[in-house]
Amino acid sequence: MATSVGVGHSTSRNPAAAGKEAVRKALEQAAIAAPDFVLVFATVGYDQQQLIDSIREATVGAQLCGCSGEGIVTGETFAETNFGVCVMVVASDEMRFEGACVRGIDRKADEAGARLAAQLKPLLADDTRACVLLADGLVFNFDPFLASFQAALGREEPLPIFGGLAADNWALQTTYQYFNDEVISEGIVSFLVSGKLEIVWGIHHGCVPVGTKRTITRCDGNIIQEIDGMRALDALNDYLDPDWMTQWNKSSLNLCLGFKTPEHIRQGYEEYVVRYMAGMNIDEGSVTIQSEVAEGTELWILRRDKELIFSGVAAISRQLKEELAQQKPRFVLQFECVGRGKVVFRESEKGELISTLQRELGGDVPWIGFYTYGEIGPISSYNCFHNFTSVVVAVY
Amino acid sequence: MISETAAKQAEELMALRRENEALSEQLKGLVKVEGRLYRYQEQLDAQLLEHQELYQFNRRLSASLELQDIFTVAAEFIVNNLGYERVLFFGYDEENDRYAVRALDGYYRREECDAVGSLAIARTDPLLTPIFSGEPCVVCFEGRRSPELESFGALMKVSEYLIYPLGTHARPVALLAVGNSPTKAQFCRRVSDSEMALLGIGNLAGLLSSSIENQILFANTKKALEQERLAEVKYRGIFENAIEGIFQTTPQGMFVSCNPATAEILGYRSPEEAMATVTDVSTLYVNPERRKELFRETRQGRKVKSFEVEFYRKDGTRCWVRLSVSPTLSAEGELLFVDGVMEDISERKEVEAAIQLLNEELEQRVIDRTRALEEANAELKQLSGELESAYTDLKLTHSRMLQQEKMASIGQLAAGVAHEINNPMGFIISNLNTLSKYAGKMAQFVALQEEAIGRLCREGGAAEVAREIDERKRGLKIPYVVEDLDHLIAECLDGAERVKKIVMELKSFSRLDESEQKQANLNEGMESTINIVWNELKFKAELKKEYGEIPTTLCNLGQLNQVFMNLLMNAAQAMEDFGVITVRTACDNGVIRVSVSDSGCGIPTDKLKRVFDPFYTTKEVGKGTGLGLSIVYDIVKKHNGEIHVESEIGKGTTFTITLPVVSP
Repeated sequence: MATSVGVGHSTSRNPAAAGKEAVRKALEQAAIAAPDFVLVFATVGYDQQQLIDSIREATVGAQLCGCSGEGIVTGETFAETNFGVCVMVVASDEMRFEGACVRGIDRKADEAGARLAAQLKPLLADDTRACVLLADGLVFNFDPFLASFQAALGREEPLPIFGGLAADNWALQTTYQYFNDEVISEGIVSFLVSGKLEIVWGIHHGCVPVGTKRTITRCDGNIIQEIDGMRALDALNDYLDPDWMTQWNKSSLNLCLGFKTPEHIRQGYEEYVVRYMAGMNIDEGSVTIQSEVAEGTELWILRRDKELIFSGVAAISRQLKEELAQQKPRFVLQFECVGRGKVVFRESEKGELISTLQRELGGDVPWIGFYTYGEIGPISSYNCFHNFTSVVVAVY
Repeated sequence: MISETAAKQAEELMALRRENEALSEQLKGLVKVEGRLYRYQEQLDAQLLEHQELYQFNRRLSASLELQDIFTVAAEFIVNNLGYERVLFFGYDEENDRYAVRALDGYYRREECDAVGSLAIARTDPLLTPIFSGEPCVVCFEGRRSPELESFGALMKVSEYLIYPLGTHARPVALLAVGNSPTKAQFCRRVSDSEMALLGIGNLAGLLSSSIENQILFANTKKALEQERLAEVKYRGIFENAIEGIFQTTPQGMFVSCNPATAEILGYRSPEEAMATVTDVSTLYVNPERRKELFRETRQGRKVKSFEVEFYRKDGTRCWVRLSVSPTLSAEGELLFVDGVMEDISERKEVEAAIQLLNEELEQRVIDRTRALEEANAELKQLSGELESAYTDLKLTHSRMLQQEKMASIGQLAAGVAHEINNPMGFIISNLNTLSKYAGKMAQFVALQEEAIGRLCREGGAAEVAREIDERKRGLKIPYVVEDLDHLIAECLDGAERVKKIVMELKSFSRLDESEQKQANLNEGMESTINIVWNELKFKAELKKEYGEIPTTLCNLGQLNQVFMNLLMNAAQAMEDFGVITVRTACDNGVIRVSVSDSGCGIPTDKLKRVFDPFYTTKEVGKGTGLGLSIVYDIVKKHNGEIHVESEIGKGTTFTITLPVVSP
């Protein structure tokens, strides 16, 4: 049997019909009747449970993992809509996909890391190649999670982690994670990819600094309170739209914070690590990012650069093509930041961006991804959290 | 020199700093502009997409000619492209003067779909007032709410909505409602009254209105053409296939048109031949005066109905026709042409003549028949007398049968009574024999004493006399006789009492023939009947009495006793071995219930329904008249009561009588 993979999608408004349509298309592409593993990304306009129920009904017996995104990406579409679902089905006697789920992470990311590791450790094997992580995008803090997760796994070489944070189309209220029959929030769904397979990946953000270096003078964990001795919001105010107080989620997309890439990962990455300002506190004048920082850290205000994004995607294509060395991927996972979607690109530009990448790796390769609230991918064998980034993972 | 250079450098540095600050400010401005640009670009992209989709939708709409198709296509577009969560189309229901749901989308739970699918709103509902007052739509959202708006929104399962009229007339042919539920609103196109927000849906409503108007126009035209075609087919069919001749003539008497029936009546092969040959219809008239008569009327513009006239056929033979004609006059009153219908009544005319003949014959036959009937009537009278006599005989036979049954009952009764009386009478007679012997002994003893007293007076010797008397006294067992006398008399009195009681009960039971109704207690009637028939029961069954408290009721107790006796006797006879007979009485809601149950052999279901039929019996020939239960049934019915029977083979039978309590 080897490996059969297919991806299907639907933008029907009817959750039951959408789930069935996406599965039907995926099964048709894979040319199989029943999969072993199902990966689902969907947007939040749907009644989530009805949607998952319909997918489960059409893929009885297969393990299901997935999460909500701001949009979906497949070889056929890149729909940033409130009603879109994509499904990847896999049937293989060479690959294994073994999932786990952590409920109620409750901003205790370190505990969540340990709990997830406890579930995944028994499933680890010599041929385990990667861990895919799909976490709630509103309460997840990557750094403490990673520390406890890797410690609990206790591997000498860190297991490469790829993934994205679940999104809810800027409502910033509830994101969803899918595990078999369950639809949960404030949780993590993860699966190990093991077997006769190899993985290559590429990561690029495409942001450039505007202005000079600045310094964090007061902070607490992932909350930046002061920049250059000023309240953080005051320091950023000159760059923000007048309505930033009511439209923070969109206003903050135009700006991001850049930190010098640490020495140990600088080779193979860009000059800055980018962070999205996911939240702010008007009273305290602070902003919140999705990883922890220390006082005295240097930072730059960055803006997205369309040309750089295009050239970055081209660079990923070239890199992956070289590494694949003419081998065709079994499937590709793409975790694309919401900040690289319709908020910056026109529909035609976005299409060009994604289809260029897909064309380079083979137009008929099963391709699935979603628009995230944060991306995860290793740089130089160090697992890292990213913003405004495209993480493309090819499994062959 | 150095200081000059330093000053120059400081100046350049200052200039650079100023330039840097200016550039920095410009950069901040550029970043802001870029942010706004992205936002406008996103909005423009969305609008462009919407216009493209609206254009495509319009093309699809043009291809939809059925109203239901228009609704379906539009609903799909509104949900999938305009982004409203839910959409409803209400079609105008002229009969009920209301708008009822004709199509919907966005309701993905069956229960919601079912509830909303049957929704309707009266045309006069105040909710729709803005539309009829010229407003483009009804709007309900966060900034504009009222209890009425919210209430209708709840029925549509939405929290914010718009209602647009569809159609350009004062009375819209349909309503379009779009909206969002509270849980999904944030992911859908929000409802607001801003011009921008209403642009897309407003354009769509306009397109739909035009499309629906076109559809209605198309449908009406199609309908009118179809009606015209059908009318033509219908009238052509009537004209061609009518049995009556239909024609049109000019005032000069030429046929303008005529149908095949006209030609046939006048003896021509086809209408064409008739029209070509008959150039003046007046030549058809056997009596030309009739034509003039008719013409006078039509020239005046008057219709003529049922004008009977004789025509010549093509072959010269004659035929009778009945004409009905209608003239058409010009504005000036000039006769233009005459439309007419002719019916061939030749046969009828022949029949009428025949009928006249027949009538005369019939009158004669009626006279003959009347006579015969009178004779038959006399015979019938005689037969009726015979029948009456037969009926009287039958009644008499029936009465005799009833009497026979009564006699059978009395026979059984007499046997029982005789047995009951025999027993006490036996020991009364036996005691009287003994008493007779005792009396003889006592007489002998008294005579002995008299003789002894005389001898004593005459001869003396008292001791000898006393010894002799004592000896005789013992010989005659006088002390025992004296002692037994009381016992015998007491026993006789008891026996006499028992006989008296039986006679009393017999008297009570024998009120059978009394026709008068009296207040009576059925428990007492039952008890009295049991005593009468006890002799028949005691060897057949154990009798259990479960009397309830029942009031007296107006009844013929003698007849009811007969009922009880028949039921008890039947019960006893149903026993194959020694069994149990249970008698129950009760009163509930003004109804007295009396039941007699036995543990006997039971009655098969097929026989159960016949047990009340007269002369029906399951007993051996000669053992029953078959009238017992029939009499029971009649008596109960006479008391306005009911009788039911339940039976199970091998377990027994229960007869239950229900009688209304009747107060005097």
